Amino acid sequence: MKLKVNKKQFNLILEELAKVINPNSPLISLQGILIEALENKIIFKASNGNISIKKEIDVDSDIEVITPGNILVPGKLFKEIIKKQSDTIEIFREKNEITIRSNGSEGFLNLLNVEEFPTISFDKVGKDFEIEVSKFKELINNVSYAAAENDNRLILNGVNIKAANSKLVVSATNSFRFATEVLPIDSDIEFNINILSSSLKILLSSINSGLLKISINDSKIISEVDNTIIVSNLIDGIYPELEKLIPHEFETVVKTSTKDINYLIDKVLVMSTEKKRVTKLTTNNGELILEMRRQEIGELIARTNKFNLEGKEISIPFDINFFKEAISKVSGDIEIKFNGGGKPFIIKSISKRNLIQLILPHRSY
Amino acid sequence: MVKNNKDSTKIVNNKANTSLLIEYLEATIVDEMILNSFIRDIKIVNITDSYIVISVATDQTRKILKENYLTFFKNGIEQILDKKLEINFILHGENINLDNKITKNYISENISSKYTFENYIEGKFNNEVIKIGKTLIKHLGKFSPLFITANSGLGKTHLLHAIGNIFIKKNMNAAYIEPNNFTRKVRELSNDSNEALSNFIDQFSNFDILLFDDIQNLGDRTVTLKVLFNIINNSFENNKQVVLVADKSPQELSGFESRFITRFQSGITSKIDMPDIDDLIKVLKFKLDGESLQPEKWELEALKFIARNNSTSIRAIEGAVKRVAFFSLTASNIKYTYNSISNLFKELQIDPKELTPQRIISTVANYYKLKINEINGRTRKSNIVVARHMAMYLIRTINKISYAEIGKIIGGRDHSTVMSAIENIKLQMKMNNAVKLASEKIEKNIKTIK
Repeated sequence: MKLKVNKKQFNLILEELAKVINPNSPLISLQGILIEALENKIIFKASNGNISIKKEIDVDSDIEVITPGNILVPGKLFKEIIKKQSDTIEIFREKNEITIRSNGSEGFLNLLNVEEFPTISFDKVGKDFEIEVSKFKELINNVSYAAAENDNRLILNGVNIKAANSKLVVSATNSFRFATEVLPIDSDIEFNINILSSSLKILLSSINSGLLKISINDSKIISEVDNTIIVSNLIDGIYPELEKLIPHEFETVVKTSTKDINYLIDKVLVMSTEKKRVTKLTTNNGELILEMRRQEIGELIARTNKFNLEGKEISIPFDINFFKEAISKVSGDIEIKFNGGGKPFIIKSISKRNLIQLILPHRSY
Repeated sequence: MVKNNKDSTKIVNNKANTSLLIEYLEATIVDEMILNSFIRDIKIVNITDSYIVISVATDQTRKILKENYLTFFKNGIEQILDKKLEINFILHGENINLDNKITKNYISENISSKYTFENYIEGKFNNEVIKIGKTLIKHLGKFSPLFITANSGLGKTHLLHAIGNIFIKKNMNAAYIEPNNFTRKVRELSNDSNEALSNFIDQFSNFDILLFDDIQNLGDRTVTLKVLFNIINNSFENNKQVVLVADKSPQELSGFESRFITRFQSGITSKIDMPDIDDLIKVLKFKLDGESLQPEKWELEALKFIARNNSTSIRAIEGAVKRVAFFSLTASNIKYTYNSISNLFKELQIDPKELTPQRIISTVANYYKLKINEINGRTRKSNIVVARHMAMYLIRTINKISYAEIGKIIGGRDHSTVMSAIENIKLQMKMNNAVKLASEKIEKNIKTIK
């Protein structure tokens, strides 16, 4: 196998592929990039075992195939070596090794075993769905932060995306807080899928603008943009029905702005540690108070009067990090709605009408 | 025990007299059936001034003759030998001692001359027991009992015989006792009489060294153990040597009362370790030489191949050597290279005994191109942690040992560390294919004879 490539173009391709690779993958062959050089095109494949990417590049002046062949290169290392080459690079294989040569430098890399790269299907099978990339990215970014990481309840590590009645609903939760957003869509498609939030992140980083075309079936979501196909496995299982948790009537509504709330959060956050994150929010006689206490260490209290209260006074303990993360997703005027100190509360903003964020309180302060 | 002064004339006389006696009895006892069943195979064993010893086939024979035909015998003897003698019936193979007491030879010197220290390969794994075994004779009885722990297939029986042969060479008595025979005899004799049992025990004290094999089998056999205990104590009191071998250490033996365990530990304890790769190659070369398979012509990789795939016992090595020997008969110009030797074993399944944690760790290290001590070490570098967790998961899956034991093997880690690592792997498996495929691939490698 022998290639002659332009460094800049080749580098861009490798950068894309590298997004998917886990350089410490337990399966050695998935630490690699599969390069199948045919007479008139090159097919690149990479995967982390959950999300996989395939790029088909036609041969042209920037990428030439001198001799066809298949190789599996150690991804990270290959990318770094190519980065350091000069403009025109020659890549050719001898037995179990490739030589990377350009003006002024030469490198040799041991190849991985091509036979061991798993077979991945990139077939577009399933229901088709289109959505504007920017809208989809925003939707996911608003919600996916709330998903769990490495939770034993597998499905909580994912983002739930369901379509019905011309509406797309995206939800995520770690069982202590959740976020959900609704987007009206121009399609009567119906599906209900769960995808690992980490894979979703990679998917989004690989698509830039324009129209995202997705195919959805029982086990995979396949998206195609230009010459790139990205396939991600779905998580099996039934996502908890979180809408039921959202209250519609509230005893207390605190109207304020993200600026004012962040002001309070910043002041008391100093007292928090990774394990001790409980803060208490209280309203009292025109004052909104946020406090944080650590036994035998100290206490921080922050106050403001820049808010409006509708309904009963409130006193409620909750996780300050969850609160901070939720606030960070919105801006401007917000409404925090409560039902007493022991029930979940929600945050809504004018800036994002369709986004609802809910947080469960702590049992005690 | 009658001292067998093998005076040939006496034997001839005993034989001649036996024929005469049988002739007399045939003439006087008419019953053909009796003659055939009980008379015709009698043997006169010894004649003294006061008694004659006649051996018969079975106890039943003895009983019948004593009860019904004693007069015939007495008359016959009087006629042939011209004297009145007391008649003692014994069974074939028994002996009669000087006090005219019938005793049986229950144990004999049965040390095999095939097994000596000359043909016992020494390696790191057994050099301690060899040293002790060779010097036992110099400190007779001082380090009794010698308790050796050794897994099966590592040469313990050979060792016992080799020690026995050292004693025999110096004109001392040695006996090798195998547990099943021992148990059976004890059982038989305990049904007989207390006297028989104590005779049995006494006979052991005639030996300068007693070598007991596989005593772990004696657990829960209370009578047998009591007898063994007596034998050991007697031997100790007489400054004789006892050697005991088991596949577990004294503390790990089950079914033994604590007084036995303390007795076993009261002398000197030692063990035969698991041989390492160098030991295995040493043994292998010796065995190859024994089969004229020219070990000096073997590629190191070919030797290592056999050693690492038969690492748990010498017996396994012998099996592999026999396989090579067999195929060399048919192949004219066999090359002792890794390729040609490994080809001979291609079709075989790996012995499940070989699927040890050590083999798993070394296969994992190989797959991730790491060193074994990196996997067992403390480093938290992500690529090494992946390998370490995979090793823990595979040891749990294949060997099914506890988290604590796995932790001990892999760098002395806590059981909770191992548990969370394995739970993490299981979670990863559900999330993506990489972990599952990798574990399957590595497991395949572990089970391949390579």
